[in-house]
Amino acid sequence: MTDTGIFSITATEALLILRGFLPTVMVVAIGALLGKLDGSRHQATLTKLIDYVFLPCLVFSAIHRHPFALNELLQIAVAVTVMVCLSTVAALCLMKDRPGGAGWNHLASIFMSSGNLLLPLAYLLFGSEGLVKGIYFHLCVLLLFHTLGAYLVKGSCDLRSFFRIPFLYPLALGIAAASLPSPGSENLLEMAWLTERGIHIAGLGALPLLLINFGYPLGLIKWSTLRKGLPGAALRIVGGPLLAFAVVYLYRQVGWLSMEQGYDILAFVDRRTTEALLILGASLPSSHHALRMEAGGGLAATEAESATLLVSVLGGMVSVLTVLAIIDVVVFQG
Amino acid sequence: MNLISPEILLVPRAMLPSLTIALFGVLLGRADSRRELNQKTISNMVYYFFTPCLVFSSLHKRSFDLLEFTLIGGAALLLIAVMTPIAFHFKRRAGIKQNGYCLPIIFMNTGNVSLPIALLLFGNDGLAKAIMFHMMNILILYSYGVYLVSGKTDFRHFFRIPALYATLLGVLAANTDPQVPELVLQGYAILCKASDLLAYAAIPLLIVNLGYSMSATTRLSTFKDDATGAFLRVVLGPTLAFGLVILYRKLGWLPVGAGLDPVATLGYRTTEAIIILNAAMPGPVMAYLLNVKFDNCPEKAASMVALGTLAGLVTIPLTLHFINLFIAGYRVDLGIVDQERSGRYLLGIECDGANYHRSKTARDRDKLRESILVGLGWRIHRVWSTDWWEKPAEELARIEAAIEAAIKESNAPKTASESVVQVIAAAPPMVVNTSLAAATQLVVPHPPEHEPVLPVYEPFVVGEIKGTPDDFYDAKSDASIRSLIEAVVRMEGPVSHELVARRVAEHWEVGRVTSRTIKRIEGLTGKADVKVVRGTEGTFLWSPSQDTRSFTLFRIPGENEGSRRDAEDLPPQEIANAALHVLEQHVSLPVADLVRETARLLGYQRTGPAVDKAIRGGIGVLVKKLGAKEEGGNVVHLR
Repeated sequence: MTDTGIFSITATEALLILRGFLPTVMVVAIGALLGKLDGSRHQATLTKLIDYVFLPCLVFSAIHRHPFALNELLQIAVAVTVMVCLSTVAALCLMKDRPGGAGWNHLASIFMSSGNLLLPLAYLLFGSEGLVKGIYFHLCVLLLFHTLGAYLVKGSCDLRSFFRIPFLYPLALGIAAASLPSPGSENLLEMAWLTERGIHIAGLGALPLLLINFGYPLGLIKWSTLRKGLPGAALRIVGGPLLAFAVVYLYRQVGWLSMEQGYDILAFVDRRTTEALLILGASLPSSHHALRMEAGGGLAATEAESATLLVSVLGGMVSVLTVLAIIDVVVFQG
Repeated sequence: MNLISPEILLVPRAMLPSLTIALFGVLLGRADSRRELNQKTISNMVYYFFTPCLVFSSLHKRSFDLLEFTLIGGAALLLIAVMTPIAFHFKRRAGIKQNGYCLPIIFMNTGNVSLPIALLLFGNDGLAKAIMFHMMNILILYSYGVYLVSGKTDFRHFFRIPALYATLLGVLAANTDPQVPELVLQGYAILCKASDLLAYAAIPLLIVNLGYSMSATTRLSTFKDDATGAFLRVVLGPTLAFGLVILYRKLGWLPVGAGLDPVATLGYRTTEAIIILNAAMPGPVMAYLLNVKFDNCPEKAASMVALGTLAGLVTIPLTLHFINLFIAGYRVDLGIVDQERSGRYLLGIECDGANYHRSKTARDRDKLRESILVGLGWRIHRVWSTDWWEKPAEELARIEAAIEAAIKESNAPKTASESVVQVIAAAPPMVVNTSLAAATQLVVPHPPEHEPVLPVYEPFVVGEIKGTPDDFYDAKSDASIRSLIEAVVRMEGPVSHELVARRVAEHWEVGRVTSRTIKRIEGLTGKADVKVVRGTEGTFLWSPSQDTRSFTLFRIPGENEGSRRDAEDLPPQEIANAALHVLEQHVSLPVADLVRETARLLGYQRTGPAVDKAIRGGIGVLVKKLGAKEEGGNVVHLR
């Protein structure tokens, strides 16, 4: 038993956290190695495979098995919006080079890696329920990214590109499949079940690919620029979880994520999983979509911006572990 | 009405998941008209990372059997050896000079297609055997295959195959048990988890890559060229394999009989199925890549691979169908023989355990298996292991009813218990191959003799009626009520205050216990010779001879309806004792499981909110006062 006085966590729990987290770090490291070895820069191939085949399979496979609850989606959407908006305000204050508006290129300190990192981690740490919530989290981040993020970079929202993301359509299909009555014929059900098996197998394939895709560009960032990334990364991996804890506390206070155990223990655990997911999502390193959007907006990612990504990844190894330990104590034991 | 019969569905079922994934690859290829996707990158990732991880993940979890490897690897070697002269004969007949033509005929695509089917149909055991076959196929392809297309044997290629090292590592990990510090073991477990995580991507990427390749090479104009080669691969291959399996059987290398060890028997049948399945595979994409590398008629190889893969859509399911008929790898736990008609089974009995069904893969496979068995004409009756242990008489009655229904259906007039079924006690369950086994008997495992007899809750029986309901509230009944309270508590204590009120009030024919009734009893309880224990879960009355701290008893309901108590009437201490009893058997359980098991032990088949709340209260007492602690969502037995 490790007892620090502030929180206590058993060796078994610490081991469970490590067993969920360290394999993901290893796979990200393999991704970085692949990126370093691949002189021809074929990350686009990997990204295409993920975006058009594997991630849609993962999303559909997870969502269609889960009864859709609008309240659950709203809880996550409001929390993500609040966290991203507050992070933006903090970033605007911290990064004083530009006052905001078009041409601002510090998205990496605001947006977390909600796709490449959160989805595999949510599945490995919180199972299918966690994955579904992770998908909702990713959806909200993507929407904010193409509205608020695009506005900051280009001066206008980019909803058109948001609706071009393949991710949205299996999500809608999954929700429809979960909400509509299943076909009456046993044979049709059987065929659907077998087809879904294939989709599920392909969906599981997305987990390592997402992690590798996240690690791929990391090997190219110059280590000499690390210092420049410190403020942005600190905002991301320290400010993010602090904001998330505040949001979760607020949710508890207003009864949106009630601590009342009630008769249905599963509903109680589900609320705690939502809290854990919000905190975990907020504590993740920067998204490299941010750098890509800036590049797409005609802005070269500054050294500071790339360094923010790298520092947040390196610092994330400690901060995410710490956050997971705190989640264990505050959310699940509390 | 079902439009498609289960028999017709039997064949595509096995391949539908793989086909679904391949379809995504084909669609991706069709959408990517400019071929921007770099297949080499995908191939490299699969080759260097994902496949080695899949190989390691599959092998390190099971013990390595050299004999098994010899059988499977030997089969691959023999099949390749037999196919070689046939391929050369057809090459000469076609007037082709280059040896590259032979490669897609001689070698099999044992990776992309075979591995996922083996996993889906035969589980991890099937996958491990398929990997053994794959390794031998690859070994020969990179030595003899390279020699054929380049004119020289390139063993360097073979020793550069990452999967080879993964195989060696997997076999080493499976067969060694080094005494190392706990920290090293934990580090190894984390490495294995990372390997499992990477392995998730291997099979879908292999299939998507194949689908993507097919989208470019499957043009109708190429079909006519090399139909013979593709046909030889997917039709002659499995035919030879069937012959080889029969030879193995004749030589006694793969015994046919059920044998004493059902797992070993099932292993032999899986080995046979894997040999035939792999032999039915089309030519490998790798053969095409070698032909490209050495410029040895790559167009013909591409055409043969594409055509073989398309033909495989028909021939592989057909081969699986024949495998099912010939080998019948599916099994039932118990088979009930129809004694009226020799060699015919009336009913299959499946014994399921909760742990087994919690595994998603096992559950899915089971579903597929059952539908196949039903498709083959079996009637299946399921027995849950927990139900069997808890109420064997009821389960036996259900089995007998199922047998009688089966007899009626087959127009057999005698009752099951009289003529059809022989019951043998305390024997291990038998494995019956659905189409191979000889006559069998119903084997019914009984609970072990040392199973403790649990005390049954004995309710206080209502004696003579003491008066009318109005008399109950009359002061003249005080003495009678007091003595009845003491009698009920002596009989049932510890007992809830409300239950005592019910028992006592029945003597005055008070139909419904109201707050007035309880108040009346409460007033007299203080004067009776009983101990009153108040807590958050309610008020419970204890006999003076009972010590609340050393109380270790818990009581289960008996046949009598009166012995069933509402959850609110269960003393927390008694629940704690029951939970401790459960924990003594399991050592550690997640809280939800402990709640469910304790509720079952106390006679509740469903864990509703009231039962859940009461049992959790009892578990709280257990954790506070007795030998258990809660840790990470589990309750752990400490003694």
